Amino acid sequence: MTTLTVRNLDAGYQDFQALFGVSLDLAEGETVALIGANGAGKTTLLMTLAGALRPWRGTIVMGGEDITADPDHQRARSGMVLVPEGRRLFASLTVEENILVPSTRRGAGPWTLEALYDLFPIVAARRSHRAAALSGGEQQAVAIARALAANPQILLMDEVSLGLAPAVVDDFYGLLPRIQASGVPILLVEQDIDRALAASSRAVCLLEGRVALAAESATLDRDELVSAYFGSPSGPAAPDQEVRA
Amino acid sequence: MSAKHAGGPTAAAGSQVRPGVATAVSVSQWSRSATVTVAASGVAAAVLITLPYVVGTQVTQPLVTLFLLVAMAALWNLLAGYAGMISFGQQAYLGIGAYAIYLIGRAGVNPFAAIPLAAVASGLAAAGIFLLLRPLTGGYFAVASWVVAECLFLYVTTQGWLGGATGAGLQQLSAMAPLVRQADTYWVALAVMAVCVAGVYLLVRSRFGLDSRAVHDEPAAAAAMGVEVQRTRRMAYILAAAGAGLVGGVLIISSLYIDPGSVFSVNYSADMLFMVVIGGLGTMEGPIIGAVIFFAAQQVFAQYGAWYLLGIGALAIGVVLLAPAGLWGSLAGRRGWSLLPVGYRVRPAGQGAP
Amino acid sequence: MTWLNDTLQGIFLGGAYALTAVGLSLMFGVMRLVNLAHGDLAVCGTYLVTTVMAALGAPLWVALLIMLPLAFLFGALLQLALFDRALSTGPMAPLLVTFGLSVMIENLLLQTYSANVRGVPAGRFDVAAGHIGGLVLPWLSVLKLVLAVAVIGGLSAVLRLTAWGRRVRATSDDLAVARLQGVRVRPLFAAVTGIAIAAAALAGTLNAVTTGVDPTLGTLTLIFAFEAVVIGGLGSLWGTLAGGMMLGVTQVLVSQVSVPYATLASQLLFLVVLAARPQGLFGSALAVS
Repeated sequence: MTTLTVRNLDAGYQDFQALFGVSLDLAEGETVALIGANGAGKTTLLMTLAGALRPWRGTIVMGGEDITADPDHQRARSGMVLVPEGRRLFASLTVEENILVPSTRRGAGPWTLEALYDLFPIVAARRSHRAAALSGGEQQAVAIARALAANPQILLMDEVSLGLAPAVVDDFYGLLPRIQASGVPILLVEQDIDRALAASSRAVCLLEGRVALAAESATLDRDELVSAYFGSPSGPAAPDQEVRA
Repeated sequence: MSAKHAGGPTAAAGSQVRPGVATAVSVSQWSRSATVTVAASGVAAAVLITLPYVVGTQVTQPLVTLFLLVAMAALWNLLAGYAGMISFGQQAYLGIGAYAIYLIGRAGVNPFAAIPLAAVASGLAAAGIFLLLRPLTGGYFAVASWVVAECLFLYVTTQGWLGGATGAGLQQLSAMAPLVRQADTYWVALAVMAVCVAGVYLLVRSRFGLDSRAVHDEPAAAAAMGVEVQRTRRMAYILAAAGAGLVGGVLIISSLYIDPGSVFSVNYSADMLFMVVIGGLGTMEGPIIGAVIFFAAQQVFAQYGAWYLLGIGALAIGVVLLAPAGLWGSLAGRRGWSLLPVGYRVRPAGQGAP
Repeated sequence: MTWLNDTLQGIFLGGAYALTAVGLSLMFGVMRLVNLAHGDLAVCGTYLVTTVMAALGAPLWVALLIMLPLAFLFGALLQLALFDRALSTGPMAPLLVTFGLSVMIENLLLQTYSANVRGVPAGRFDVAAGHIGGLVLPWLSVLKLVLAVAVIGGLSAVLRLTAWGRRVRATSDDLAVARLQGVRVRPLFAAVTGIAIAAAALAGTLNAVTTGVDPTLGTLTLIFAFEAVVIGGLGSLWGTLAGGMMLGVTQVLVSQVSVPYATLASQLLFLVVLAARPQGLFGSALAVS
C-alpha cells in the first residue's frame, strides 16, 4: 500500500483542456471521495491517473516514484488500477476469466481468487457465465473483483453506482469497508454525495476542471459544498479559462 | 450569465448576429484566392484547348493520360476523402463505361457522342450494386467492391459477344483520320476531366457535400441531426461511378481496344489511392496535385519498371503514417491556404477574404 | 459416385482455402485489421522457400522448417513497425497502408524473381494419392486439410485454455480496458501477426506445389481468404474452415458443369452471403462495421 501525490495536473482531449492545475494527495489506507457535477472532470482525472490520457503538465507520484511518463499498462502493473466507468467487462470472457486477466500482480497481495469469491458471493455463483449475460449489479461486482485481483497499490473507482438499483448500491457500500480494511488507498468518484461523504475520510470537489474544495468529509460545510459543486451563482467563469469547443 | 459565442453558420453574409455583440460577422464560402484559381483555370483551359493545333500527338497523347488520371483522382477522393468510403472496385465502372461505348458503337452510334451514355450505364450499374454494398463499411466495403469488379471481369471473360478474355476492338473509329481522331479524343478527355473535377467541386460545396463530410466524420451524430446517411453515401457512390464511366469511355476511344484484364485491373484502384493519398486526401487541390506528381513520376521512372511502383507504394505508406494530410494538406492546412474552398469561413464584417 | 468424389475434392480445396485464410481471420478477429497484403505475404513466403531450396539443395520440408520461424519474425516486425502505427492513425489508415504494402511486395517479387510461374518441387508427393472405392485422396490435399484443422484447433485451444489466449480475447473485446488491466498489447499483437503470416506462408507454399507461384498470385489469394473469413463470420476460426469448405465445394461442383464459370460461382456465393447474412455463418451481428 502506498501513497499518491498529484501536483498541478493539466490534461484534456486534443484541443480541449479538461483539467487545470489539479493537485491532490492520497495517504495510505485513506479513501477520498471525488465529487462534482457532470463534466467537472472527475472521469478525466481518473483516466489521466490510470494513464489512459496523457497529462499535458504536472506530476503523478506513486509511492515516491514518478509515474507521470508511464503508459497505462505500465501503471496498472505498478499497481495503479482503475475500475472504469460503466463496468467495461470483457464481454466474451467468463466471469472467472475476466478476473484472471490482470495476472502479473496476482501473488502480490491478499486478493486471491478465493478471497474475491468470498467477498462477492454473487460473482462466485456466476463464475463460468459469460460476462455479457450478467445483470448490471453482477457486472459491477465482477469489475471491482477484476481490479482487486491486480492487488492494487492505488484503487481508482469511477461511478460504481451508475445505473444500478439502490439496493444493489447498498450492497456495494456494505462491502466497501472490507476492501478498505486491506489498507489500499481509494479514490472514489461518486454522484451520490451522501454516500460519498459517508464512505470517505476526505472529499475533493471539482468544478470545471479545477479543485474547488478539499476538506474532511465529516465536517464538510454544506453551503461551501453547494457553491463548490455548482459554482458561484453570480460570477462568470474565470477569465483565463478555455472556452469549451 | 456570461455571453458565449452567439449565432451559427446560418447567418447570412454581412448580417448582424445579435444586438449587443461587439462585431458583425460575414460568412462566406468563397475567397479571393478562389477567384484567382478559377480565372487561372479558365486561362489554362483555353490554352489546353488550342494545343492540338500547335503541338503533335507526342504531347497530346500523354496529356490524355494526365487528364484521365486527374479525373480518376478527383472521383476517388469524392468517395474516400469526402464520403469516407474506400473503394477498391472503381475499375468496375471504368470497364462498364468502356464496354458500353463498345456496344453502342457496334449499334452504329458515334462513340464520341455516346460518352455521356457511358456515364449513365455506369451510374445505373452502381445504383444496383450499391444495394449490395449498402450495409458495409471499412474493410468489408473495400474488399467487397473489389470482388464485384472481379466478378464483372470473370463474367466478361466468359462472354464471347463481349470479346471474351482477349477483348474487343472499336471498329467504328478506324475510318477516321488518325490526327482528327486523336484531337477529338484529346478534347473529350479534357472535357471529361473538367466535368469530373467541376462536378466534384460543386457537389462538395453544396448541401450534399456538407452532409457527406458530416457522415464521414461522425455518422451517428450526423444521423441524429437528420442527415440521411445512406442516401448521401449512395449519391456519392453513384456519381463517382458515373464519372468513372466517362473515363472508361475515353479509355476505349483512346486505345481503340478494350482488354478486360487491364480495364478491370485493381491497379487502377492502386493508382487512384496513391494519387489521392500523396496529394492530400479530403481536399480538392490534393488529388489534382497528386495526379500531376503521379503522372510525372510515371513518365520519368517507368523505365525502371517495378522499382518505381515499389517507391510509390513506400511513399504512400509514409504519407499515411507520417503526414496523413498529404502534400497539399500538410502545406496548406497549417497556413489556411485554400485555392478551391469548400467550407464556410466566418470573418468580421468588412474584412475581405484573403 | 463422382458427385461424392467431387464434393470430397471440394472439401479438400476448402481445407486449402481455410489454411490460407486462418491468419487473416485471426488478425481480423483480434485487431480488427484487414491485412490486404495477406495474400502477397503468403506468396512472399513461398518464394523464400524456393530460394532456400535452390540455395541449399534442401527438400521442401526442410525449407519450410527454415522459412516458418522467419515468417513469424517478419510478421511480428511488420506489426511493430507498420501496423501498430496504422491502427492508431485512424480507421482508413490500415486499409491504405496494407494495400500499399501489397503493391510493394508484388513489385519487389517481380523485380527479384521475374513474372514467370515458378514451381515448388515436392518429389512424388504432389501427385501421390490414395484410393478408397471411387474416392481419390491426393495426399497433399489431405495434408492441407489436416493442417487447416490442426492449426485452427490448436489456435482455438490456445485461445481458450491459456493465460495468453485469455489476454488475446480480452484485448479483442476491449483494447483500452485490457491495457488498463496491465495487458501489454504490443507484444501480443506482434505475436498474433507473426502466427498469421507464418500460417499464410505455409498455406501458400503447399498450394504452390500444385499450381506454381507467380508474383501476382497474391491478389486472388487475398480475395479467397477474405471470402472464407466473411462467409464463416468474423471472430470464428472454425467458421473460416466452414467458409473455406463452402467456397471449395462450390468451385469444384460448378467446374464439373462448366470450368470458366467455376471461379465466378464462388465469388457470387460470397456476394450472396454478404447480402443475405453479412455477419457470416458463425459471426455476431456487430461484426460488420
